[in-house]
Amino acid sequence: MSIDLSQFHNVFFEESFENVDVLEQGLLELDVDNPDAEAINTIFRAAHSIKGGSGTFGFSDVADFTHIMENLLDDIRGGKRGLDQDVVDVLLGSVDCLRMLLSAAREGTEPDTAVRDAQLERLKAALEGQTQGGGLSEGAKLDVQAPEAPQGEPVQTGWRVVFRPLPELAQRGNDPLRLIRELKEIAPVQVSCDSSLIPDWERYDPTRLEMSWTVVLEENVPRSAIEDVFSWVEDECDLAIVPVVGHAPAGGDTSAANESKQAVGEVEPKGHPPETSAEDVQKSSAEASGSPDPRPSDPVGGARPAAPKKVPSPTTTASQSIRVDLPKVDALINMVGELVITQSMLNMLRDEPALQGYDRLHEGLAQLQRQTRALQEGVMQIRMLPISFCFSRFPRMVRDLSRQLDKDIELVMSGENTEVDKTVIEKITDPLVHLVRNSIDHGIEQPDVREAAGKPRTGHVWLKAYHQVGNIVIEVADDGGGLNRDRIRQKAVEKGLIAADARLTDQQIYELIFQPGFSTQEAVSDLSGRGVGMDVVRKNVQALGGSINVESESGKGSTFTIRLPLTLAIMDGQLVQVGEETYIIPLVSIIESLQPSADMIHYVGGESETIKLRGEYLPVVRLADVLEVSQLRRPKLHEGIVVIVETDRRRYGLFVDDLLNQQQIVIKSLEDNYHRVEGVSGATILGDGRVALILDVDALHGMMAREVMHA
Amino acid sequence: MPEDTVDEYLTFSLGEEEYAIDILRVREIRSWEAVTRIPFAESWECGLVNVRGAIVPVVDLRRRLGLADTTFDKHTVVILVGRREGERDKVSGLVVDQLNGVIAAGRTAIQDAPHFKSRVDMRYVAGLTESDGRMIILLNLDTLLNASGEVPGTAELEGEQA
Repeated sequence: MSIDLSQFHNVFFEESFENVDVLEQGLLELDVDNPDAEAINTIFRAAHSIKGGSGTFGFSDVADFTHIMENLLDDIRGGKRGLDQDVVDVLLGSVDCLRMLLSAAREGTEPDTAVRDAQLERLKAALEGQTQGGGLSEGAKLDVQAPEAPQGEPVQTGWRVVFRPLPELAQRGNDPLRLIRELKEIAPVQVSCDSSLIPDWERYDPTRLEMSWTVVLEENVPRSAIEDVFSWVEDECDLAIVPVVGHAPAGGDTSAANESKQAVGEVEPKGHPPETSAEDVQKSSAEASGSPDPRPSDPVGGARPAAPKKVPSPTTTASQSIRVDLPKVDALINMVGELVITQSMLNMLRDEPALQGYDRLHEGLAQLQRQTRALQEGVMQIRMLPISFCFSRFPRMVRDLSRQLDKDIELVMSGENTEVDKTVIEKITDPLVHLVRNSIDHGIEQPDVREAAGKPRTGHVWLKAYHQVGNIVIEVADDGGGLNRDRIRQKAVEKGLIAADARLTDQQIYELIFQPGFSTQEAVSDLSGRGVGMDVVRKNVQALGGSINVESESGKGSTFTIRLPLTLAIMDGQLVQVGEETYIIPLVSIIESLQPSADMIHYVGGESETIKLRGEYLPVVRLADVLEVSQLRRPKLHEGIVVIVETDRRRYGLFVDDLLNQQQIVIKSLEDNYHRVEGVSGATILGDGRVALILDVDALHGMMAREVMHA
Repeated sequence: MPEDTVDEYLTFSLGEEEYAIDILRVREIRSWEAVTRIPFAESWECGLVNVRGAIVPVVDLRRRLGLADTTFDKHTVVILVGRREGERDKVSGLVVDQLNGVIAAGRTAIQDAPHFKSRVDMRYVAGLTESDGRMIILLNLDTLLNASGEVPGTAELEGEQA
């Protein structure tokens, strides 16, 4: 069989990295004192898949490493060794190493062998620690270090392979006999078939395989050689590959006895060797239990602690999602963007006098509009991913950092399923890492300090994501000491950011931490203060069209709130006219638009215009002034329209000459071919093909404030 | 002496003078259309146009070179050229009076034009060459399209970058 495997490399790496994530997450969620068997199985399965795949594709570095990990996991799973934080630490370290090895394999570079070897040593030490003392079941030592572990263990004379296909295996075109023949090519075999599960004649379905085989290989071949044989049916069978040790070539009973207590619970009344020994069977018994297997399920009843939970098998996942290259999706999104522009162009024609009276044309146009919109929303959905893709790294980070800092910290996450654009996930991760680090490093106090302050010793960091009218909100909160107002103030004065006698509200002081070059930490700690300050966080958030602000209460903690636009590619916009120019105000920022009457208009200091709206004075920004639009004549406020907009905290009016229509717009970046322009968040193409700029109402307010100061 | 490398250049006029740019940098030729003004832009940046969904800035070459303004009409030509900014390839439009054609010139036939008097800002000139007895000014697109007028990196003739 010569297939060019390299074409599958991408898929292999994607899946392997996902499996590494599963491994990591599983390890983090593991309750050390009371481990859930299924959780351990999940971890084991992830490691196993990586090993199998890397073996198949010839990434022996990865395969060998994972193999040792798998041995350790196998022991844990079999109850042959206890579980404690140190083992989890070793395994987590191995996860990192595995990631490194996978990256190296993907890039085709040399892995850092020093790191790998050190980690291998640790794994082996952990494995041996068990061989010396931790054995729980009698005879367990015999097959612990299975195949490739070099240190002197009893001689392995071969393998016992228990192969129980799912009943559907044959229907999918796989022939079990062929697999057995392939095994025969590797080594001499003894085959026995268990046909006791074949139902009565009346219920017999010849297309279903209701039997299992035990194949004893009488030669110590590499385990991967056996796995290779089964690699195509891995998901469609229960497979156990058990080393045969000592002098028992036919080995059924010896190693059956070697298996752990847990396996005893699996003994079926008929008591066939395959069932009793095949602890590995459990790994995919989920699939088996999901299939209409006629054998009596769990006849021993309470003898077994818990039946394995149903986990989604790879086959079901495959039918529910497909992997598509991102450029393809983006090309589709662009195309739909063009369609939206064409559609709005057609919409403009609707008002042409020459086209009046063609009712069906108008109906068609209205329908086109609805459908375009639905299509666009659907396409945008493709790029949306749950934010858990980004959140998933934090449990590990918090765990590591709190151990490192001797702090007791619990991370509470919510809203992991909130969907955000893929770009947001990519770009928001670093700022969030920074914020969470800050909370752990600077926010949460040492347990003793906390106790002295009358707080529980365990600190909390909250990571929340949720939707709020047209925005995605991500909060990073802690119940630590809060921001140190005096220190921030002092630092800001030192750095020349504010005058020593400046009168600032607490909120204004907290905002100072977002200024470039501001960092209160004196010593550069390992965690934060690496020169990447909060200003970078803010810049990254702003680059996504979002905003960040902070609330803090001394002694109670701080909350950083990031607001991001729901999608990065489309929005509803209000077109406005200023002089000869057309601009777009995002509809979500607009509260109302009005033509002020003369008595609503007030002047502050004879210059700054404000309008009084329902008892509230709102500053008015003349768009023509801030954007330097040339005007023949400066209109009076009551001659135009004031659009009341709202940003994070403030409301103000934007003065424009006229309101035009509202429409859905496709946001295009100015930076693609030009550069950022202050007060403008992007551009779009209008129905007539012309370019219009989208206003950044947050920045415009700041620009006006500066202008007033300079005036 | 090694064999001379011959590059091709697109030539166009601005007023009485004839200019040329490396043809490998040229992406597309369009006719003038209305632009959208960019706030706070340089005086020589006319505005933005839509090129099949991409938003492209257009440079008024006359203003950029310090020549007298003229009025643009539908016979005015916009040359789209590529440029490299940081890690990204970007596109700009250049407004010129009219296109003349393509010339081939060997590297040895290009003279430096360091110190002769001209209304044209010398920072933007890569050299001089001749075609059918006419003098042609080769422009340095990298300095020309960079707001500060500085040379990004070591740009010699544009042909090196293309």
